[in-house]
Amino acid sequence: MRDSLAETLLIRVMGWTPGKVAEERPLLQALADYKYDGYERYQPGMRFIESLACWLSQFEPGFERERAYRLVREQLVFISRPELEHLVASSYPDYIRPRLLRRAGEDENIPPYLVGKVKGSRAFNRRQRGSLFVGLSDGSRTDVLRRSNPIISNEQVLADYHGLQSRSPGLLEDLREEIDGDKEGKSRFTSLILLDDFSASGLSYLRMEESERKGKIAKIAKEIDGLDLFDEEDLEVMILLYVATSQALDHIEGELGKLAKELPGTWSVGKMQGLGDSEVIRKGVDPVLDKLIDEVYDPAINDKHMKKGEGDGRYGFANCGLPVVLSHNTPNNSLAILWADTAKVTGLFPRVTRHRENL
Amino acid sequence: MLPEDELWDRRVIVRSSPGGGKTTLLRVFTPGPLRIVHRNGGSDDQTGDLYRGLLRRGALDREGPTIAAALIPLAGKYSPLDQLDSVDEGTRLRAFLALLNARILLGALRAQLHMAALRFPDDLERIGIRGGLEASQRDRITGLEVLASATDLESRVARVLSSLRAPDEEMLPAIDELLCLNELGKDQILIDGKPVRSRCVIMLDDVHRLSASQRRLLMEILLAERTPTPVWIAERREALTPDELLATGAKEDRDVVTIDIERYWRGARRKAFRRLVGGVANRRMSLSINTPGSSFAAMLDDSDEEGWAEVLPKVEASMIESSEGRKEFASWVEAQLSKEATARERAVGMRSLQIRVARELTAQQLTMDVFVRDEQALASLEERRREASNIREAAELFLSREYELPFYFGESRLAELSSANVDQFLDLGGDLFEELAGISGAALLSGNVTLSARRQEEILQRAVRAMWKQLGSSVEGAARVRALLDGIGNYCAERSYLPNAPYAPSVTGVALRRSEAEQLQEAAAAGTTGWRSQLARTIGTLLAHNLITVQASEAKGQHWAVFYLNRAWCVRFGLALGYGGWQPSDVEELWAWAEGNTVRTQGRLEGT
Amino acid sequence: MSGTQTNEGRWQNYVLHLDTELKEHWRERFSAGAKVCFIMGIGFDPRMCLGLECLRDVGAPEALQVKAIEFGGNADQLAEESAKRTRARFEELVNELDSEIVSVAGEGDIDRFARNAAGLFETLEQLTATDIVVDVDALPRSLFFPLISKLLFLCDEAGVTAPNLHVFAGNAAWLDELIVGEGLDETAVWLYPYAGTFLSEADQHLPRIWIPILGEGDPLALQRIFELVAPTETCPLLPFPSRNPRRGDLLFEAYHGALFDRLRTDSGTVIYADEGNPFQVYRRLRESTLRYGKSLQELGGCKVAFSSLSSKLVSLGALLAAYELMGDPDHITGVAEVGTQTHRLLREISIEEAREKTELAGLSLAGDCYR
Repeated sequence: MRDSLAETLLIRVMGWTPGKVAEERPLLQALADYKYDGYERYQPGMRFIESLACWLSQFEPGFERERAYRLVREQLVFISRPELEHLVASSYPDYIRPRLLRRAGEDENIPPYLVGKVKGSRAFNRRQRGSLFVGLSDGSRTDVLRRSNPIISNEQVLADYHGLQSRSPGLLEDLREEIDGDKEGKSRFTSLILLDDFSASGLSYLRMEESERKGKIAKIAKEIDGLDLFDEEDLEVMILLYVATSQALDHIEGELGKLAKELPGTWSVGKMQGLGDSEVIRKGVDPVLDKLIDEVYDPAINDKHMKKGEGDGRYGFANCGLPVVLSHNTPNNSLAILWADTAKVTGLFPRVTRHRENL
Repeated sequence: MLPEDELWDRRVIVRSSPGGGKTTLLRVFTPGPLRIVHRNGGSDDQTGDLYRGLLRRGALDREGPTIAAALIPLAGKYSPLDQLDSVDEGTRLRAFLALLNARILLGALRAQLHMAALRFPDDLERIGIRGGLEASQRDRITGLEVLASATDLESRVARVLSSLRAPDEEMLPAIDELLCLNELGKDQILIDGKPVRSRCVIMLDDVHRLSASQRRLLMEILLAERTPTPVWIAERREALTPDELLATGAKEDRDVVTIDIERYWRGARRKAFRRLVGGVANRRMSLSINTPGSSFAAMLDDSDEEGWAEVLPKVEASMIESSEGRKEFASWVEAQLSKEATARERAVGMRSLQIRVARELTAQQLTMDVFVRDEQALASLEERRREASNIREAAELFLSREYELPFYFGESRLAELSSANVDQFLDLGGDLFEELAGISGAALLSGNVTLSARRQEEILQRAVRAMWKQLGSSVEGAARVRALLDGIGNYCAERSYLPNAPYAPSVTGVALRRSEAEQLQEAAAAGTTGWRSQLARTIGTLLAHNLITVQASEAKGQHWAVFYLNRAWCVRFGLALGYGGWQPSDVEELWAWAEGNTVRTQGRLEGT
Repeated sequence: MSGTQTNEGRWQNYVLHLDTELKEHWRERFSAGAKVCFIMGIGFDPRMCLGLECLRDVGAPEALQVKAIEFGGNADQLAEESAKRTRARFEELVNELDSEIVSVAGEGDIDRFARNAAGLFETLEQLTATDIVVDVDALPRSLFFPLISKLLFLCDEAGVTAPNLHVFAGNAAWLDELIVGEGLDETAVWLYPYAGTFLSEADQHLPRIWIPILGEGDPLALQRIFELVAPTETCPLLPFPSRNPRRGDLLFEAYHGALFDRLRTDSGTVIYADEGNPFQVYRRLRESTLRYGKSLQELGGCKVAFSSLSSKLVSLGALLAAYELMGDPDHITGVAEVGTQTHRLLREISIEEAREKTELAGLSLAGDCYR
């Protein structure tokens, strides 16, 4: 739809006066250009303002519609592709490398703050090359990580953890050739960095299900067990989430704590961009918003995957209550009114479901 | 604005407040605009007038431009030199001249290349200066050499200025005069070996941004002797000291043309200014709206008949009431009622009448003389058209306040509100443009793009509030500046809304006796810290920023310096926009206002 | 090593400590015999004494000398009251210390002020210490930019014998928002010593790239800087990651009129950097500068201007990038700044509240860390 037509539609839906139009229109247009038009799950030809107008028209005209509009203008957290890529690119120099430097300093008995000394040391070189970067989903964007940090070689990055076992011998050979100068050397990886784009509940990483550990971390722990890939006496595993809620971090940290004895090496979890409680939308805080969430709800979204968490999906998977949209998809932990797009309801940022991820 | 004779043989000084358009004026004479105007010729709708004006002033002839102005910005580029405390002043000033000299040369060559449709710096090797520079012994140097020498000189200065060590004086260039003004004379510049046809003119912009000693030296050099290269000087009024600003009569100098842009527009040329900004507005609109043929003026809807029709009966009732049942006014009322007119015209007519009645009644009370004006007297009043129209405007203003009707709307009032400053016009009109652009998207629904009078007023009021807010962060001594403006404005409002509107349409200025203004000047010149000198500085700031303007006036056998509010403040204080209504004041009162003290001795002031 | 050997920036690997880590770091340094010369401002910012408190907690009084800078400036009543409180706290803290109050004159004229600030210490001998710490919390940019630049310069000149140089800054975006400037100077200036060749005209044809670091400031200030820089292209830097994930969006909204609509900035040129990590800001600025320099080589290069309307912590990133590139003829950089006459505190803030909600950051800029 042409911009001007979409705008006209929106103005009609919202019943704006010319003064209000003058105020809102340039800003919306700017925000659409800057971020929202970049949503990658729109149908071809669809753009933000048209989607907004259609979405708003589901709500009662007047203050309910106004409240829905304010949800978008004042509470929505939209993480655009350039923003996410920035998190990916800076994860190495600002999160991972400082940790590697610290361990290399310890190796050489140099106070860790003498980075000038440490960075030139053999120990750091070993620590650096001895790091294996593994993506936990497509969102881990290991391609961006490598492109922006040329120091990381292709032979220490796996876009997908499912290849861990099969790639293991080759990875080890390359590592030994570089560090020991010999394929038959003894070196093994000393750091495993697990990368993922987003977590709201942390449940898809580690959880107990029928007294069994489930989730990506559990799977990986199983995969690496018995592989000769890592130096288990000297292994550090960093789980790094580009965007994570404090709820997810707490959950994963707690579960890791319980598992500490069973896992090889030391495990930690961290984030680049955090989401705190102040962003979360909870039932009972704003009755008008609760009403919108109830009214524009299709029980069809409450499928077996949704049922793995608390609640029926209105406030997102596991009642996470997030107002978050990632440019490549809206997480199911976000309020259903933002993403649910069914025969009955229209989503503002329609979500494409792939159940393996985003629990 | 510019004289037609011998313009290029005189020094020209252009002054205005910020946004007054001095740089725009200078830019007309630079190669780009001159070439376009010449190419379009005399028959072009948009630039035909300009073409003829430039032709008369010898800036171009039938064959093409005859001058090539180099616009040399001085803002911020030289004053840092004056911060090198450890270097003595003489050395600093010689470095200033050397830098300026190099940049003028370079600027002139750049302008000539531009005029010849050549590129800077790629085509510099094709241009040269005959006679060479005095510094070099050769008879001709090329543009590339000029560039190389300027680059070297500038980078040396840049290194000294940003050195974290003590400045190295040896690195600073030094000359004692502006040699370039002799080197750029007629036939001196060659392109591909042939003299160029257009004469070099140097236009120094933002001279007020030099340090005080640099400006003094430059002015001395430029005004002392004639050189073959004409030089124009453009600066803000703030470069003038408060005592220069307060002076209302300037000394005449045959060799120097001084132009004060806003003063020029404010005089008898208000209609011309309105045309100017009208044109600006239309071009601005055509950039953002696809509604060919419609003008900005037409988009500003100025009829609000419904609103007026609603209040008309109340206005009539109020009129009849205030005539205190006197028969003698009945015929006036009859005369008004029978006229065929819009509700707005009738309401305004009625309210004007009410003001006149109030005047009559006041006059009667004062003179204790019962005299009744008949129809003929009314007619003689009507002959005094100016007064009648002033009263009508006051009436409309009063109505707008009494019935909350819009007053500040329509293109002509917007032009008045700009106080002869193009930037202010664009600032105030900016939100109107935005909103029109905004609703042009929605026009698919309604079909026409107009703004109601009420909405226009809302937007203008918001713009004026923003201007006021900005004032707090953009001028020196903002608190005092605002307080003094508030003092003046509130007093004007108080004197304007008397029932008989004695100073119709509004009081919009206050005046000081010339002798008092002179005392202020003396205090300012002495540079003391006393209150008079502080007041003079505050008034100086107000004048420099076009927040008020000053005009000489004679009344009651006295000479006065009248300070009128910038018209935008009329919105703030609810005043009409015409000039002419002012009230006498004195320095003590102005100072009290500036200090935020608004208590006044009642009845001390009598109207003029 | 892999193929692309990018020339590493000076602070590619960096030393940044936060809060408790910072304290531990200094405990360690003091026990290793550090003697600290602590340079700070005297002002109204309720964070003023946090850095000194931190060192006071872990260092012996004889290992700590204080040079406090007074510099005038106007403030509103709330700010004045805050200044009284911070001053009283300061007096308590320096009670047993070797302390001295020095002053920098010229506030009101940025250029002069900045030169005076740089002139405060002409040699390192004036500061007998193993470690110099500059706490910027109560210092304006126009003072700490030249001051830190000068100290860096002196340290670089002295080489291995130079003391270590550190900077402290309290990260508290909420507090930055409560401090507003009033009485903006009418024109922006190039902040000494970072004018580059921006004042030159011979190379006027070079494209100018402007990277404004956005913060909760006055859009008018941005406009003033824009007028000075007259950029060919603008690449605003927005805070991301940030404690408030919407902060970048809110800044975009606040400036969209000034920057994106009027100045026709392409929203695709936005740069992001961590609001809590000045070294990341430095890296982003440096990378962008080098990239533009390389891309525009055909046009003869370009000039890159930085400006900061953001927190002092983030501003330090611009300082580092500008310092590193200073004098590099292939990468002309400058820093533009616009002054304000008065500062206002929007509400009362106690020292306790400031302490509670501020993350104190310590950056090491030069010395043993990098040798």
